[in-house]
Amino acid sequence: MAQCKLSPHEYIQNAFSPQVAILCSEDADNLCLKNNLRFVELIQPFCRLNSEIRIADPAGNTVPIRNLRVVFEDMNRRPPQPTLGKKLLSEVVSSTPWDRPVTRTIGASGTREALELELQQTTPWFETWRDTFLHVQYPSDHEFTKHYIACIVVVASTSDNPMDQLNRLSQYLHQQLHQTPARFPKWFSPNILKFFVLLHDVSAGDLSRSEQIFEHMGTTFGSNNCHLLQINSRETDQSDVHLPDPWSQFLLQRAACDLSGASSSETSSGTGTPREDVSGLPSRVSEGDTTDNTEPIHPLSPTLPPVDEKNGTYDMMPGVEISSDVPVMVNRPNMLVGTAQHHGGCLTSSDVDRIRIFIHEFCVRSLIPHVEKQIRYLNEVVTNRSRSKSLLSATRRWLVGNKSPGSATNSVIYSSEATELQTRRLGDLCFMFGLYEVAYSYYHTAKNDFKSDQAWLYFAGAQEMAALAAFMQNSSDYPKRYLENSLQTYLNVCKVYNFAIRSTLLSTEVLKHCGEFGEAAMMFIKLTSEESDLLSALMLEQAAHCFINSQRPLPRKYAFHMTLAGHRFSKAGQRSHSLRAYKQAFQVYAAHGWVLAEDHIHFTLGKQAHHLKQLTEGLDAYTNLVDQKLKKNASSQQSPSQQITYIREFINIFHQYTEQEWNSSNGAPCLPLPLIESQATRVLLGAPQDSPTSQDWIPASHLSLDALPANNARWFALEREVIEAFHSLNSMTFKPNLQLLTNDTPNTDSPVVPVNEPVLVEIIMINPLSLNLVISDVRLVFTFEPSEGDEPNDAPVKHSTHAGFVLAAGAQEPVRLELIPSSPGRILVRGVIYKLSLPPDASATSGSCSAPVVIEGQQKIEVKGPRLNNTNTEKCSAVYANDKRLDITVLPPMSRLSVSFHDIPQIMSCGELCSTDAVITNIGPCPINKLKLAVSYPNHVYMEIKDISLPNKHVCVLRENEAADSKITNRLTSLPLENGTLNSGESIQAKLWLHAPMSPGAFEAELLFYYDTAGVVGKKKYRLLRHHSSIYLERSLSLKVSSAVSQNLQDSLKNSEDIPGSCSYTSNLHVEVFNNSEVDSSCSSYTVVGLSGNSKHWAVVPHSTLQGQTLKAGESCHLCVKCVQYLNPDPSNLVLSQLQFNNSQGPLNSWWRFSLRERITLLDLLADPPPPNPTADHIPPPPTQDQMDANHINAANTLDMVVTAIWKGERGGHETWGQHSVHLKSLGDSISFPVSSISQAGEEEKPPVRIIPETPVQLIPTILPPASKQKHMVKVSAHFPCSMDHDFITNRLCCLEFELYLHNCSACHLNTFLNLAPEAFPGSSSGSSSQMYSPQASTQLLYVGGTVRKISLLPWGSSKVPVRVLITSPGTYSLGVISLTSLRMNASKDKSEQPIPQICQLQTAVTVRQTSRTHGAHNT
Amino acid sequence: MAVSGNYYFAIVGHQDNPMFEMEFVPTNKEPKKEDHRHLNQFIAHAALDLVDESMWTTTSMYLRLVDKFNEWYVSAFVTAGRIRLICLHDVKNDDGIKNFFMEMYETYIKHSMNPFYVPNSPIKSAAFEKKALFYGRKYLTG
Repeated sequence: MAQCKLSPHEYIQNAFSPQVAILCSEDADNLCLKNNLRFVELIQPFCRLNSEIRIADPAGNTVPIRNLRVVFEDMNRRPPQPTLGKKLLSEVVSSTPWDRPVTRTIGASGTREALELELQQTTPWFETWRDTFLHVQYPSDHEFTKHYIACIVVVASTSDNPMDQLNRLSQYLHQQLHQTPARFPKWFSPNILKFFVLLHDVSAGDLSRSEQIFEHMGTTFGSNNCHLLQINSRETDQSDVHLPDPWSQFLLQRAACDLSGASSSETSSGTGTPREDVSGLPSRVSEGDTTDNTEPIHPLSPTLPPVDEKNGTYDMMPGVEISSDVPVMVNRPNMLVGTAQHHGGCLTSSDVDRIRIFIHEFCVRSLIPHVEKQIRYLNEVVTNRSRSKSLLSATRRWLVGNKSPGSATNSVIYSSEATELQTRRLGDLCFMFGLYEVAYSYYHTAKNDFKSDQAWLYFAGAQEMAALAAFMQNSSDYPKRYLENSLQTYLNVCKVYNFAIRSTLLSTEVLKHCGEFGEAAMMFIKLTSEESDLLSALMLEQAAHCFINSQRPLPRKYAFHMTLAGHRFSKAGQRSHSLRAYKQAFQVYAAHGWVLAEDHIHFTLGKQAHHLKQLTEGLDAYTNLVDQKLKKNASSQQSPSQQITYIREFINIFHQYTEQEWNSSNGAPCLPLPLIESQATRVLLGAPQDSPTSQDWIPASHLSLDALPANNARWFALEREVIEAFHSLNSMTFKPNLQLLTNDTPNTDSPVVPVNEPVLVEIIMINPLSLNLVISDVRLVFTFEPSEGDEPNDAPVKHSTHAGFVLAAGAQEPVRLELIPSSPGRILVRGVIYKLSLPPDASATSGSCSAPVVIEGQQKIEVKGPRLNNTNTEKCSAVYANDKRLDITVLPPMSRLSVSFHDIPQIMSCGELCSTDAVITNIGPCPINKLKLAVSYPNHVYMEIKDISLPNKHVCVLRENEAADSKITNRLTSLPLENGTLNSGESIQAKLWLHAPMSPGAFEAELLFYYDTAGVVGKKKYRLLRHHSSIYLERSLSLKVSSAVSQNLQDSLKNSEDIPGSCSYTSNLHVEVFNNSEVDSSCSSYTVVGLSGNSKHWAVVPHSTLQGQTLKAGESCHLCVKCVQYLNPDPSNLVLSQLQFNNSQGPLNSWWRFSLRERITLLDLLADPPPPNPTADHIPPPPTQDQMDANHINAANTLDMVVTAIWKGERGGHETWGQHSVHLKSLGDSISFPVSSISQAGEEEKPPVRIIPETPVQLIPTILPPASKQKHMVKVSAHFPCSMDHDFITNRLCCLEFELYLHNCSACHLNTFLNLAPEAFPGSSSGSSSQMYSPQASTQLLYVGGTVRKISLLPWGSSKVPVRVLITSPGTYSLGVISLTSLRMNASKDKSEQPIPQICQLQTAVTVRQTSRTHGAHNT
Repeated sequence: MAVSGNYYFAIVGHQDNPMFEMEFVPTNKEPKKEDHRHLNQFIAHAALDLVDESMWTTTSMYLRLVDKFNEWYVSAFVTAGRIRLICLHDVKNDDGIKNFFMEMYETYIKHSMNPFYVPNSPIKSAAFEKKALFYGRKYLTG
């Protein structure tokens, strides 16, 4: 706090100390000057009496006085003129050092949170200012505390005739005392105490002579009023003896004295040429060396502007008039002051003791008795006169009434002997000597008298003193309103600001003592005015301290008033105080978002620090000003012109700072602008793919900074598949080999790059301001550590420099910088260094067109990984993963692959096939051993070195190696290398096959080449090359294939190795091809040129000759082919059947691979490995019988055929080929692709959202397929002649014998019940079947033999059932509806399961004719 | 109805942070120079001390005049959630300011119910600004 050194009581006591004049002869002063001190200064440290002395009050009671302080002043001292006084005050304030601020916690209150503030515990500059202020005040006529109460005349024993000198001086004194009109100095009364001192120089003078003179003095002036003071016991100034220097603290005041005394006397006397210094003291030498700021500057030193005396306003106070008749002898030699000097060099401790004794003697033996005498005298005068006067004053008071000050003309002039003044004088005397109670009563009387006289100035003074006297007597109970009133009167009525200030200083001390800080603050604030900046600043600052120190601290008020104080300090030229005040105020504002206020403070701080050459601090402030990162609100609220000012100042101070203070060995200093988005920094390792020489070829896209952000998850998943396939790594430890590191990539491991391959770092610079910035010469700041055992060459890393650009307002700009390491090691990119300047038009100040100041600085780039959230500690605190994207490991040379393609199309039709040539070259210095390729869609992209074409025949059985395409489990292919290596510079040719997917839109083909470097092992030593093609797919055809279940059994298709005699059932395939393309697409008419199917057991067979049909947009055609079972001995083989219409053979040999790959279903590409399957480890329980049966039953329906329609189209004069495939899983399926839009629309109709969920229907888990699916388990065929002849004449009964052939299509053992003459059918009588073709048909048909049979059918087994039918007459007969039910063998034990009727529709018409041997018989 | 004068309005959050600031100048007057915009912030911030003191002295949310600096009067309003609405004005307009505070209080409450608004953070809403401007024109500058 603004705690003062002195308590309020001490302060008030000091402010009103008795004043004693010193009249010193020149010789005496010269004696003292051996100690670098004048006589006044010599005794100054000892003017406070430590012992208690007693004084008698008017009633005769003795009262103790503690710590009586007597102020000794040179009689000829004049208070400085106002202008000079101002300078002096400002000097004092600026030169007082202050302590470190102390941290204090201001507790929370109200809505405010607790604050920690650094506060100034003491304000010594204020105290010094306060003391100096009182010191330079002119004594006024309305009060007597500043008037000299005594005079000490000092002569030296060394002078020729000390007695003569004494007489001359006392004569001079007498003249001064009785001069009219009264001028300076002011005397307390005409009858003052005169005291005579003979100064004896022990080292130079003769003591006996001095004693002689002293005796003489005693007889002349009275022994009580004389003193012999011996000093200078030491021979010379021995500076090595370090006695305590009690004088130094008074030096400042001496400076003040010098300032006032010397200048005024010089100019006024006109003869005041400083005399030559007597003793050649070293003080003289130090002139001009006192350049240190902390030392007080000599008032006459050339650093101060010359004072124009004539303009000074003297007549502010009455009696300010400089006497022109000051004798030359008292004109002091002009002393020069330097704190470096040692004082009192010739004084021993006994000398000091003698001085103390002298003061004590003076006070006790002369001053106190004199004062007591005066008090008695004055008391008598006052009581006598007041008695006579009281009546008069009472009358006057009654007549005038109680007037309040306000409308007053201050016209009352008292004679010096007026009773009112005598009362006041008595009061002052008592006050000065500690008789406060008595003083109060006198002041009170005087106050009332003055008030009735309407002498407002006198009144105010007396009132003030009365209040202070009361306070001094009893600090808790004092008339507070007296103080307020007198301040009001001083300010408003008398307009004497100096007294108002003094009154404020005193009363605020009183208020602070009583804990009324708020009122004290208000009082301080009242004194602020436009006129005096320094005063206002000091007052505001004190007010601020009052706010923070009150019982309930008001930190925000404190901050505001500190800011105001800082502002006034800066106006008063007190830069360091301004800086301090602003700094202290800022603590409250910091980081709360009062942006404009903060900007104001920062700007002022910066300006002041700049002027004070505290560049570091100034730079900090300006950095805060321009740094947008720290601001809570994203954008600066300042206008662009203001921003330009800020930036310009910032650049200037930064420039100075780097030139003067910055230690360049630490690298460049940090710049706050522009913002660098560290997290957006991207690092690209390795060179981009070289573009091939010939035009039609394009390089693999690989990775580049320009490309759109890649779908890293897919690429990482691809890479993971590769690594897992080759290294059988635990998938949990997979970390992708990164080549482009961004904020989204997992950068926990240091990226690697081989030597001589570039590292490209992209930095994003953002300009948050609304003015343009010029950035130039951007370079990376990095460190390089060579790896162990490697001798780095001279320039291990080559780096590029970005020439620069203009960063527009609000813009953001990427800067790409390249590093090329040439030896292995580790590169750590730390930041970026660049030059910053304003554009020439903005930086040019008015009129000047100098080149803009360019500053160079750096910014760190710090990246952090994503926030971790795995463990408990990570969840509770913000922990970020490591990010090593700027920590690059340089490895020895590695192989490098370059891949280029010949013309990958941009547009394809859905389902289109195409092939392009690819060249894979090793352009690195090392050979490659392994070369792999992973593609994201193996069913659509395929690369081969040599193509295998199929024999062009109807049915091919694909052996295991050829059928491998259908069983692909990962996305990886190995590209065979000749001799197992690809040497440096060698290349291989390959063919890239693309099969466009059948759904239109964009198709992203992703190819990841994996290769290693021969001889290098380690999991991270492989390298990758990406290629990404985005192909637009146009709509082409849609395909719908449905299979129909046929009841027929037929001989199975034979081949050479076939087992004869087996028969097969068939299925019809209906293929509908619809041209779905848009009219304006590049290829709109297609011709279906072939069909193909691949399956394990089935082959497609044409019903008839198939014709290719050219389809225009919107047209469709239907094709129907038959599927026939093909006996395939080895289940791992596949049967590929192909039907080519018109014998047209496509040029694309590898089409069948895609047809096979249609079967592949792969897991989605996921960056994270799939979670381990919990059931993977334990062996699944053996399937139950039901499960097995279910599988067996399903086998009856299995088709598992990929049906491919091969088509031909034309685009731009070139034939295009393509194919659409669908995978039919089971018989009876119907699949269309793409799904027709109508059914899609139907799907979109979703059921209404139910808020209360339906109770789920309790489904009895049945494993077995529903009965409807089990209707095709057994197929029946009958072999009988279509027609037969019979001679009914010879034999009335025609017996038709044939066999029913039952075939079990399932893999279950079945019990089949065959009923040849079922009764359950309506309309059929027993033993006969219904008519089939006409009502006339004969019904004379009878099954004979066993008509209901139970047949057991083995899995896939068949059985022949002989049947006999008797026919009685010729005609056409249906053999009737055969009823067939089947039941699984295993289920037959379970009675609950009913046999399932099988569908068997036999074409069983048989015509029996009468043999035509005898017509007659026939006719009958 | 309202007397025309200059107004500065601020909503201050719990950490003494300004959440919303707006200046109202009479329509017929030239907008003030920008040099003294920071002074508004200083005065408003300093007044918070007195708001804290005077909010215990009354049960109503509207605290009337709490502070004065040079030509500026400071009126304040403390919401139930201890959000402080501060208004600097150079003319007396007790009713208008009271109404303005009430309306802004309601607007603020509605805004704070937006789940995407982080309490105590700067209000950056065009709608809010529009409302403030509207009520300012209605009750303050007239």
